[in-house]
Amino acid sequence: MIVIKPDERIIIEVRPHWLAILRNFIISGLLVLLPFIIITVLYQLSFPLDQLGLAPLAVFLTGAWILVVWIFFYIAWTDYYLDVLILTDQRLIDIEQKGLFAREVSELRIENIQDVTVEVSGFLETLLDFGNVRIQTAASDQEFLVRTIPHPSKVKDIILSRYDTLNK
Amino acid sequence: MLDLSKYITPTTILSILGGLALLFVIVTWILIYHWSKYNITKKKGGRIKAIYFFVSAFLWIIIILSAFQVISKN
Repeated sequence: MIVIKPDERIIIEVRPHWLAILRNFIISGLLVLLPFIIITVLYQLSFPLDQLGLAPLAVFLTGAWILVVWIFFYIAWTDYYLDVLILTDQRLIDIEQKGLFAREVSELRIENIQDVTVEVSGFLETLLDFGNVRIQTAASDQEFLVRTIPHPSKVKDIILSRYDTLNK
Repeated sequence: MLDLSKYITPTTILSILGGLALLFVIVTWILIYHWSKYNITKKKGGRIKAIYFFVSAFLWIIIILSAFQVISKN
């Protein structure tokens, strides 16, 4: 577990772009609508739930279904929310949450940065200004890849300006 | 017409309710653990976490009230 030291100042904290969670949001929305679609279809097929005394059961099952979808949406949101790139005045920390029970934490001293590359490819990425940032370290085989962050060029400039300040 | 009454017994409803409660408690506990332990800057997300509990509470009220209605009818 990484702890920010008392003498350490956070310069920026970047989370993935909201588009990264949008797919889960749409899927969850459609799953929430599913029981309402089924109930509507049953009515269309002359299966009136309220006249058959099944309305409370329909409400119970719909509520239970929405709660399950709600829980799974929050698992996806937590996965998204805990992915974070933190630039402090001393180091760069990249935390990648992979589901609920796996996470990768990479840490790099700013003096060891050699090269920062921004990758923005695709229509949506260009339009909404998000992409990947690759950070090459002094160790030739080590590379940081931070995915789908908003304003990657701005993030690159901030990282490099901090590097310049420390290496003056 | 389909007769569901033999399947919808108080035991069935209580089993679904128990399973749901177990899932909710375990997942919520894991989520709270993650939110408090792994969010190292502890700056954002307070409102979204509050929405989770608010909506969950609302859904639980609907689920429990409708479960009572189903059980009392059977």
